[in-house]
Amino acid sequence: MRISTEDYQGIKIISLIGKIDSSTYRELESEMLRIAEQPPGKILVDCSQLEFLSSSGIRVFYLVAKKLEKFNGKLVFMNPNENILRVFEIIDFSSDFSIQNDLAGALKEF
Amino acid sequence: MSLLIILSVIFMFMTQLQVKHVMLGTTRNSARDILHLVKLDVENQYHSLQYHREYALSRYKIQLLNVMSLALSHLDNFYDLAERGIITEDQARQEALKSVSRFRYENNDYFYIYDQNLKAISHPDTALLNHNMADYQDIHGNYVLQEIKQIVSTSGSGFSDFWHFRLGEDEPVQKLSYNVLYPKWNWIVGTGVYIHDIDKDYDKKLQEVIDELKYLFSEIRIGETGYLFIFSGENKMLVHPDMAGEDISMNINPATGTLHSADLILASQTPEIPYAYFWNKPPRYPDLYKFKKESFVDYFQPLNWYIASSMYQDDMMKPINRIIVNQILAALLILIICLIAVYFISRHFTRNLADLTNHVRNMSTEGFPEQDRDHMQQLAFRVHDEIGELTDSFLNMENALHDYIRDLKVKTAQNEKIRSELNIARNIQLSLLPRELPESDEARGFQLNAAMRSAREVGGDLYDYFFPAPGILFFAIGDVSDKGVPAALFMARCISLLRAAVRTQSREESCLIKPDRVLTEVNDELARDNEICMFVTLFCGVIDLDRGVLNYASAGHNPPCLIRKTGEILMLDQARSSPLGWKQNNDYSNLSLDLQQEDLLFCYTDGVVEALNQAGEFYTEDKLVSLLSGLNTRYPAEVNKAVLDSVLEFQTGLEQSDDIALLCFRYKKK
Repeated sequence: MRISTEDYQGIKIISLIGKIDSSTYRELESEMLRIAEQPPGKILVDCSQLEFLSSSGIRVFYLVAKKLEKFNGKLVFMNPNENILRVFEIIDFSSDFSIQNDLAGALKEF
Repeated sequence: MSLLIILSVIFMFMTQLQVKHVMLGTTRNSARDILHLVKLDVENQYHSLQYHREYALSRYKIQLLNVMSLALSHLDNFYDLAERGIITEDQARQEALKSVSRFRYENNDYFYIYDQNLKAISHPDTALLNHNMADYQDIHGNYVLQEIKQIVSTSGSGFSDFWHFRLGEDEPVQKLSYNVLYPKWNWIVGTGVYIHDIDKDYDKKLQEVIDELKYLFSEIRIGETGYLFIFSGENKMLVHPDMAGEDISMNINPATGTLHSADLILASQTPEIPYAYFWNKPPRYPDLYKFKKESFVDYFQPLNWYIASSMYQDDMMKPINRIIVNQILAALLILIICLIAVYFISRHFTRNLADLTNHVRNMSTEGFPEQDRDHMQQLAFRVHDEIGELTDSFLNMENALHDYIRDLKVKTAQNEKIRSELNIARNIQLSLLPRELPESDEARGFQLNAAMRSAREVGGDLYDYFFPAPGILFFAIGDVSDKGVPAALFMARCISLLRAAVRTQSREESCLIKPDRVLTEVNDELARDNEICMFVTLFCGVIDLDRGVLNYASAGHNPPCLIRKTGEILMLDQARSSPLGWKQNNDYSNLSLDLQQEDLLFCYTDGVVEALNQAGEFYTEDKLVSLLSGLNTRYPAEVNKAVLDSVLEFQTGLEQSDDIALLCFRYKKK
């Protein structure tokens, strides 16, 4: 797994590349929590290059969302692949997070 | 080593040949040189003898001249008397003859006078007086007086030697005479001395020379036993270590049958070339004429002497053989020293190496042997070569290994402790799960089997089933996020809460259990103070076995499969809902399904569909569905085993990445 981040108009865009599973989620956790520490807490997770997301990774997003509550921040997901989207559906991910198909749609969420 | 020996032998053989050649040449040269020197010495001695002889002879000649002049002046007296007419010429002649015949000098030596007819007109020997001596011959057949007349008539005077009797003696001896023509009366006047004294002296001196040579030769050795000898042309051995004085004219060479002296004389014609022959070797081999000898022979003509050297060829070789033996001994000595040195050097190296090897061997069998460690340290410190360095490196490695193993032991002990604790935890976790039901429980209207395989000792998957009321089966399957101990603790909490919620409901609602309410209660409990946001996806259902109705609810769990008797497969419809643990007061939906005879309900966790193979591919729902479609008539336990085997085979060569829980139920209407 690889993580790259960039700033765009006060929004942190985090691109996740590869697989997030029980052996790699810790890196994701520390990296995202570090970013979530800083206001304004606008985070866009680009899932377009994410191949796999395990339940450990999903837990990290909820953890991050909890951190963001104090800035009234937001976590938005963009362009997950079919498999991940299926997982998101099963766990009703969209009731807690916004999932968008493209960057334009995702940026509108902030 | 053998190469060294072969080289040495070849080298020695070559040297032997060369040394032999050189030494033989040297010995021969020295023999030739000595012979040459001896010949020069003999020549000197001979010249000295000759000189003495000539000197003695010249003394005699002066004496003869002196006495002759006296005699002639005496004759002149008588002639003068006649000339002056004091006496007649005839008287003068008679008186003169008489007077001269009475002359004596030296050793009874005398004068004689012959007339032209060679008649002895004056002679002390009365037997000869007045006899014509023209035909007189001495013992060698010389016409003595005719020779004298010849000399004086041509030269007026002259010396002549012949053999004659001494006065009063019978033995003829050599005599030197001086004769003068006295022209006034035409007489031949002569006188002579007996010169055998000179010869006697000469012989005496020659014998002295021979004696001197004998002494000289006794001092000279050619090579080991070679010697010199001289024999005369008359075959008389003059000088020889043990044959001096012998007549060798009849000595025959036993090896060839020829006259030995003749062979030697023949060899003297080539004094530069050694004459080789076979001879005996007394005292050891007096009769064995098989020893090769070499002789150089030279001829000294004035004395008619043959000077010769004599050497045994094997004696000539003796110094060479001694050199060769010395050389072989030296080579052997060097070889032995080399061998000893090589032995000690290699022993020095191999001993250290053997010690090191032994140490290493001990290490592999006995761990770290302390007893020879000190010895090894000394070796590393003391020996300054590759072995020492190797030992030093080895000890360093050994120390590092020792420390590493010690650390490893500590860590292993810690790990072992953790592992044993985990094993206990695993047993506790497994004891939380319900007991296996009998395979065929058709009397109660169903078949059920559940299985679990954790990725680690303990896992976060769970399943449960029990009968909260008669004819009512409650079942659940769940998956806690993450794995290992935290997940296991969360799972244990979850399963406890689940059972408590079901039992509370069954008591309060008079056996009417609503799965959505069960989930809500458990969720509220789990979500309280869940700072780390752990969660569990859960599917639970209640089956009225008598009526064949399934009520179920899902909290974000993978939908179970329903496999009809026909092989048709359905994914159970379910409302979207979050997993348990995230947020309190979440609502879950209840759904219902009428079961048909032989319907097979298959519940699983995502460890099945998200299993990875070595190519990085997922197992997927599709693969699961196609596997299940062929298992529609099998017992639930067989279905579970087939799925588990299929997943394990799929991820062959890889660690199991996630926990797996399976629960399979078949409805069998009573």
